[in-house]
This record gives sequence, C-alpha cells and structure tokens, in this order.
Amino acid sequence: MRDVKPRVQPALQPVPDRLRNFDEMIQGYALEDALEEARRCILCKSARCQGACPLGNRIPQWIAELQQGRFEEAYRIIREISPMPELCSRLCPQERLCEGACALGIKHEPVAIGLLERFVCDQNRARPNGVDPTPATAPMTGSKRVAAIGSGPASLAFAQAMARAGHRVTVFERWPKLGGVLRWIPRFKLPSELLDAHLAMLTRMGVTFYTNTEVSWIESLLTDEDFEGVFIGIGASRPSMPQLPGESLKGICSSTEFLVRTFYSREELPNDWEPIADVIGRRVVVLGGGDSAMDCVRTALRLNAAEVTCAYRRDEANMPGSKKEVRAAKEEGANLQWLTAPVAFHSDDGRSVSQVECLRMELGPPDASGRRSPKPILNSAFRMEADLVVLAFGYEVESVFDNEHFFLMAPPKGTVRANPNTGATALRGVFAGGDCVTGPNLVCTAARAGLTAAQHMLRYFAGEPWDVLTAAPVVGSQA
Amino acid sequence: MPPFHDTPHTCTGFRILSKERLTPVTNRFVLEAPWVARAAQPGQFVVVRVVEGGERIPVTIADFDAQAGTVTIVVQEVGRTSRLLCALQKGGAVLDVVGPLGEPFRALKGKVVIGIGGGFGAAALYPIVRGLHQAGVMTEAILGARTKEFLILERELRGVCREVLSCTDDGSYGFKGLVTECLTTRLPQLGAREELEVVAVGPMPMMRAVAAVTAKQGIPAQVSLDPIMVDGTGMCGGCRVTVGGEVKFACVDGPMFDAHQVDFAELVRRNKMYKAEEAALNAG
Repeated sequence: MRDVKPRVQPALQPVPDRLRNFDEMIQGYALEDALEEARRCILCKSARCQGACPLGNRIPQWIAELQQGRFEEAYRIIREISPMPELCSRLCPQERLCEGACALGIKHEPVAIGLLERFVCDQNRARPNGVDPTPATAPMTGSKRVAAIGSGPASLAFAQAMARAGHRVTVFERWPKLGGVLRWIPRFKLPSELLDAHLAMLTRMGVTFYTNTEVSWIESLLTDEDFEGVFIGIGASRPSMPQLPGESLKGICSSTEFLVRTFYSREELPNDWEPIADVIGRRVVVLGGGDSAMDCVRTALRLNAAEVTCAYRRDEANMPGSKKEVRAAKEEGANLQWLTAPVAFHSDDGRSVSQVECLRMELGPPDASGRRSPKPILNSAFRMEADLVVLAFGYEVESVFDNEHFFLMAPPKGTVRANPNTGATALRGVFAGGDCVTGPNLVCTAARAGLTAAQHMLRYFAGEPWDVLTAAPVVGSQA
Repeated sequence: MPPFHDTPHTCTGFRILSKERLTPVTNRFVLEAPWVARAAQPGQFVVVRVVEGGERIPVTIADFDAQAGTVTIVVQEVGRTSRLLCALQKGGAVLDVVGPLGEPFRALKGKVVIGIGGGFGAAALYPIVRGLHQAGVMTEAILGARTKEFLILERELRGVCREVLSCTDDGSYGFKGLVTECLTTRLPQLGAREELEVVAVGPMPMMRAVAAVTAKQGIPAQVSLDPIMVDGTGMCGGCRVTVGGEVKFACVDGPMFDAHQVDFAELVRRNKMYKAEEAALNAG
C-alpha cells in the first residue's frame, strides 16, 4: 500500500478577518503547495474525475503537466475544454463532481482538483507573459450573425464557442450589468474582477453586448434582424415564494433583494430602494439550505448581524448546496437549524416581522428526487425571533415568452422546452440551455448546455435538418 | 434599418422626439424605440434609466406606434429619477428603455368597459381603452384629479370612448367628487350589470375604492398594480402581493390583476404602499 500524503490545505483568511471584509476567503495555493498537492494525483487511467466533470475537463492530463511544473501547458489543456475555468474552479461543488469521483478519495482525501485548477488559472493571470486566455477564432468568411438572450454562464459559454467558430455573436441582457447570476455571487466567493476579465476576453473575441435590452419577440430576431441562430439562456431568476401566512410583512425579503441591496450602489438600485450597508444588532433568519441561502448567511455575518440563523427543512447531509459553503458558514458563526421548516411569520406591531414560526421535521422515505422527504413532527411548533428574514427557497424560470411562444415553455414553472441533447427548441433556429431549461442547477452545467447548443447550431448551419436536431424526446426537466 | 446592426444604440440612447407638458408636474415624451414599439401591447411597461449609473424606474407605456417605431411615456415628477427625466428636452435622449415588460392587458368578456384613470393613471389607461375600442368593445372613461389642471388625456380618450366623465376633488371641472362616486351615479344608466366591466389605473387608494364599489355591484374589475413595482423583471420579489390567496409579483404576473382578488389591506401595510399614497397626495 503506497503512502498517501494528506491533502494540502490552502491559505485561508482567519475567521475574524473574514468577517470584516468581502475579500475571498480561500486565498489559494502557493507554488510549492500546488506542486505538492498535484503530486498526490496518481494519474489513474480510468480518470473518474474527468467523467464526473459536467464539461469533461481533461483533469489527469493537465495535472500531469502541473506535476512537471509546465504551467502554461496545463492552462492550455484546461482552456481547450473549459470556457471559464477561473470561475468554475471557484464555484463548482467539487466534492459532488470531480473530487467526489477521485479514486484517491475512496480510501483517502481526494485530490484538491478545484484548488489546483484555480492555481493554474491564477498563475496564468499573474504571469506577465502567461497564455492569452482568448482562444483563437476561426476566419470570419462565411460567418453568420447569432444572438444569445441573457448573459449568464450558459449564454457566455455559447457566445465563446460560436465566436471561436468564427461567427458574430450578439448578447442581449436586460440588466445594466452583464453576467446574469454570476453578478449576484458574493465577492468573497467570486471577485468581480474575474467576471469582468472574462467579459473583456469575450469582447476581444468580437462578441457584442447589448445591456438594458429586453427581447420579447424571438422570431423577430430571425426574421427582421438578420440573425441566423438564437440561443435562449435566460436562467431561472424568479425567487420561489413559500406561500406562507405573513409573507408580505416588512422586513421579509428574497435572497436576490438582500444581495442586490447589499452589493449594488444607491444609484444603481431600482426605484428608490435603500441599500443595505449593515445589519448591526439585527437578528437575521435565512430560510432555505442551498448555495444562495449560504451566500445570504455569510453576507449577513459580514454585515455585523447580532445573530444569523439558517433554517432548513432537511438535515445537513441532504443540503443541496456546496459543502464548502456550509463549512465556511459554520466557521463564521452561523446558527444552522436543520430539520426546521417555517410555517408562518408573525408581527408584534402588525407591520414588520418579529418572529418566524417553525416546525421541527423528521426525514421520511426518499422522494422522486431521491432525497429523503421531510415530514413535520406533531406539536413541535416554536418561534424564532427575527428582525430580518431572507427567503432563499430557490428560483424558478420566469415565463417571459409564453404570450407568443407557449410551445417553448413547459408548465407549470415555465421552463423552456428544448431537446436536452442538442438544445434545439420547437422553433427552427432557436436553441436554449442552462437553468431556463433544467431549472436551477450549477454554473458548470449551464456552461455545458451553452457549449452543447453551440455545437449543434454549427451542425444546423452545416445543413443538419431541424427535425433531426429536435428528434430526441423534447422534455423540460421539470416534467 | 434594424436597430441592431453592429453599432450599440447605448452610445446615443433613445432619442426624445417630442416633449409636452400635460400638467405642472407631468410630461409626455415620445421616444424613438423601434424595438420596443414593435413588440408592445396595451398594459405593458418599460424600465427607463436616464443616465449611466442611474436607477431603473418602471414606467407604463402610454402609447406606441410600431410603424413609426415610437413609444410614448407619461412621467410624473415624484422622485429623483423622474425629476431628472422631466428635465430632458426634445432632441435629447434617455439612456435606456427596456421592454416591453409585464403581461399585456386581457379583457374579460364585458360588452361595455368603463376605464377609470386617477391622476396620471389616465396615461396607462389610454392604450388599454384604445385597444378595446379598436376591438369593437363599447368603451367609456371616468377621469379623476385633484383640480382641473391635473386632469390629462381627456381629449385623447374622447377619441376612443363613447363617453368621458371627468371629476375633480374641488369641482373646478366636471363632477365634484371622487371617481367612485361618479361611477356609482353612472352605473344605473348603463343597463345590464353582466355586460359591464371596469379597468382602473391610478393611486392605490383609488383602486382600492373602485375594487370595493365594483365588488358590491357584482361587476368584474381589473386594477394596475404598477405603483408597487420595483425593478420590473421579476427577480427581486419586492413587489409581491397576495391575489386570490396566492403570492404574485406585480411586475411579471401583472401589472393588471383581478381587483376583487387583490389583498389591498396587505398592500397598505407594506412600506411601498405608503410611498405610493404620498406620491398621490403630493401630485394630485
């Protein structure tokens, strides 16, 4: 049995420091640490990590280069497959993907693939003559105009792949800032300059961006605006509402409202909204257990809340989000209440929320999603004091196209119908992918959907008939 | 020339083709926005940003012309952004016009539709009533304002209604009193209740009163909840409202809702509501 060294831990900001700033918590590997961690990889032939990566990142290949100190080559291999490794290495729940599949992880700690990928990217950015992350684009002859609606990870990956193939891409975004969901990720997880650098790279590749532009008439892009292909990547941005009594009391807001009011400046906020500069002395209750719940918990802690409680109806093992976020929230002092579900909101003065009434839950048999479904325990009701309640029950797709294109949307949550294997929708020339098709999922799965759609749009341009592209069963994942 | 041929329109913004002062605090702008004009339908709104880094405000579409590529908005000076907007002149430009957003107005089955416009709500009412008129529905309008000088769009509405009744709080023009009082006196002259339908756009207290009157009379009614909208794209949930026991978002599920299903009492409790009331008080 070979001797396996323990996983190399990255430099972290100490907890007291972290709570005073919005800088990245994980500071990444120093060169020696990265080499030591890379050498833990046994470069196994089966490459289970690669199979578990939604993008099929050739992990053992670039780790082999890294082991030899060939950073540029490692970065080149990553970039051949991954459209946005700088982002994915920070945002992926690696323990459920590549690292969860790592052969070393069966008996020992898995290789820190995410941290290594981040190291390779950060190294490349830091080096004055590092590899230009801008991929070469094909010559523009015979190029076509294509449009992407929305500027989140799915559209950005699509735009990059199409620009790389030599087509002229226009991205439409309804908000003043580009990035879609990537804009709402707190800076302590994703520094905004990384997103800006990514967008700048796409601009250098010739992608045109229109912000503040609503596309409500898809056909017209094809018929009136000379676009030959359209990609719908509008994501899932509508906050799910729990439909509980008292939900409209003052002091209760959605996770999006909380994060937007914290991270946007006063001038940029819509319609006289007050920015949230701090929550000093306030008791914050975050409801939900996914990554956006953890984002809100950790943001509230940094805004100096008196206490931050997070209530989730399942147990810790069944939380949907990334384990590293939960661990960080715990370290930072969050009070996590598992098996706890809200049933009503109460107010002392009839206007603002003052308590959340909850029930304790127990786990029953697995439901359709394979997770054990929570059931309330009789007579377990209790109240939590709260001055600010953040609802983080996940997101739904806003059915913006249903007036004109009901056939693009599958009820009840209005997901866009597309062939999951090709991204093709019922409308000729129109593809879709990402959260708007699958419901809320990961940044990397959205990126893959964008790449898949681009690949099949190229086949469509090459003459593949539309009925072939839509031939596989057309389903929305909600169905 | 389609608007998206490789030069970003954001460089120049959306040109103001005309500006007209309707009341001391209300302006009508005709904007060049072909993209929005082509897709717009009655009842929808746009989100406007005046300057770079400025806030986004939802504004109801007061008129649109797909052929001419224009969108008309009526703006009341109530906040910092609407003041900034109202300071712009013909030939100038607003930075962004995002839209059309929201669900279009859908008439129920009324043979006679009474449109009620309170204050500058008449602006949002106009395309709805015009659309109904063009579809062959018998239309009437009741307009209300604090005084005569705050009454707008009476002439335009006359062009698409068989009857327009105006009311002012001080009696300086038309009926002296509230739009609901005017409605109550008008109803007996209109015959069969089952053929009637009401659409109301205006300050929240007015719409609440219209909801109460029509509910009592058994007349279907719709109201526009755009006064509570925040960002207009359904992503913040700041404009949530209980309609028929279900939480809805005014911006994407509305702005028009069944008046009898809206939980107005809850809306009154919410902060935004007070703002809307203040705005109504300040501006008539």
